[in-house]
Amino acid sequence: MPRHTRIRTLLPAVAGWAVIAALTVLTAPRSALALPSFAEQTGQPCAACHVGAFGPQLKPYGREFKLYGYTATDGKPHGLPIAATAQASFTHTDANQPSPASRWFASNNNPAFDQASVYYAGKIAPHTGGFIELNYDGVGKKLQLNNADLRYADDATVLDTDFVYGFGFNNSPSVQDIWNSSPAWGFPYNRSALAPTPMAAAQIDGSLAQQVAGASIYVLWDDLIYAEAALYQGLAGDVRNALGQVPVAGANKVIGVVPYWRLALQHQLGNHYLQVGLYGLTAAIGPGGLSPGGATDRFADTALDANWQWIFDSTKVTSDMVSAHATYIREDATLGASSAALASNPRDRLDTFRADISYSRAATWTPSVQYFRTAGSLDPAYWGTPSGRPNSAGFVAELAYVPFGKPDSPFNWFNIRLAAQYIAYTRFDGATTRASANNALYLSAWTAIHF
Amino acid sequence: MRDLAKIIATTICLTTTIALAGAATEVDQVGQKFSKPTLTLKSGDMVHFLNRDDTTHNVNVIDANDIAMDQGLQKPGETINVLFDKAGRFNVRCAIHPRMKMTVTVE
Repeated sequence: MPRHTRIRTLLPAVAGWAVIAALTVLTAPRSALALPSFAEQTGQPCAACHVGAFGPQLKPYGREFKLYGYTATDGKPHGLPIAATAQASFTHTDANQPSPASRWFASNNNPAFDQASVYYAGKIAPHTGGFIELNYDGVGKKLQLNNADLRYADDATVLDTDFVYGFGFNNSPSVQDIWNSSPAWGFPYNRSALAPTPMAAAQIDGSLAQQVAGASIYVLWDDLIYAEAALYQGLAGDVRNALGQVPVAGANKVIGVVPYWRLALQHQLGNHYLQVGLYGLTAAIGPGGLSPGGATDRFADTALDANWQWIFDSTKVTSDMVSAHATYIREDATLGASSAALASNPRDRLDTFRADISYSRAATWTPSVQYFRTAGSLDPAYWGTPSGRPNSAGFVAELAYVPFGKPDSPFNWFNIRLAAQYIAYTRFDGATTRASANNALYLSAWTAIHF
Repeated sequence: MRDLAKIIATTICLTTTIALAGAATEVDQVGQKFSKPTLTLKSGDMVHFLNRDDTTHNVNVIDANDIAMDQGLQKPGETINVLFDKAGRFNVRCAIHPRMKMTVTVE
């Protein structure tokens, strides 16, 4: 029995579906966004925008390209900006899982076709661009609308001060973010959907991805201060169903409007780039789609983040570079619905911390390491773990190899990323004993092509 | 004596030609920035934009009426020469790198 199913059996139905919804988000393949259609549009190699010549980790030009609405172009005609990505992998966990993570797979040592995606990604009109990803999940065997980010952006000068401004629509809080410390784009950039993952995640930490849609407005003032505000609305069940976000029955339901906000300071100091920021949201959730007596679970997420990049030679897109990200998310939950249905605590707290650093050698070899830790209140009824806590911690180590995507590459319409990743847990869902049984080796091949 | 006179005459001609053609200013595109964020020129002056990065750039000169004079793409190591022969204030942008810009004032 897969771990998430085993957990589910320990919980009442409402909490069980909440856990499944969280696991669906945690194990879903992340968006690729190492898109050759962007490379074709700008005439720039992948390495101009991306650390290690493959997305989604952004360099200064990648952030700029996104900030300006994906509209920068070399002026040549390139046809429709259609791109595709595909991932295949092999997953080994230190111990066999009680049962396969998916009914099409074995309890260990699984080769898999993880996913394939088709994107419309690029300029749509002057100052307007974006990307929309249609994804086939090769583990869950389903077709779904994945990330979408459409925006209008421009710049202006007021009182001799430059600012960039824009507004847009997207379906995942933080997918519009230009920093890789944000939940939507954080390390690891891909991970196995066939290995166990910790059950607890803050709402802002991917739990609302593709469950909402909203509009945002942003401004970067004097290349120094970034501010953004967004409002999201939960998608109705039939809409989620139509978009492939299944199962809808029994899944968490977003109730009312979800406000999201973002503040950041950035500065370039020689070859060093620094950013510190805050972001957050509040959301009312009906766990399992239920709100007994009108009660909801209300979540208030507040996060800190920081980025540091050191590009040794900024005149070379293949320059060696160091890149580091960190984020801390605090979630305060007022569990009106869960306390009524499950006799959980009326209030809980969840703290999440992640920090990673990578060194990109000639935009070809990129080793990375990450420390992660999640800790929460003691609440056996809510978390459903044997210890009553959701705590997990561990390390991720990864080595990625990207042969193309550089100025001297033979083509800019194709790229591939080969990676070996190992996740080691010191604590898993509140337990330290046998936490290492969830350790996972993940070997992946990730390709991107422009039609 | 005749050779010396030729040399002097040639030197005077060249100097006069250069003076009439206006001065030349070098601007590097390096690290995805223009080396001079602002520049003040006289009408008839020339600017040599040299791409010192290892990726393609573009020089797009936009006048006060928002009329753009796109100078095209510029491969690494290439120079684009732009003659500023009208007075006014011009924004110079790279269409590929939106944050790459400078202002030229022509007197």
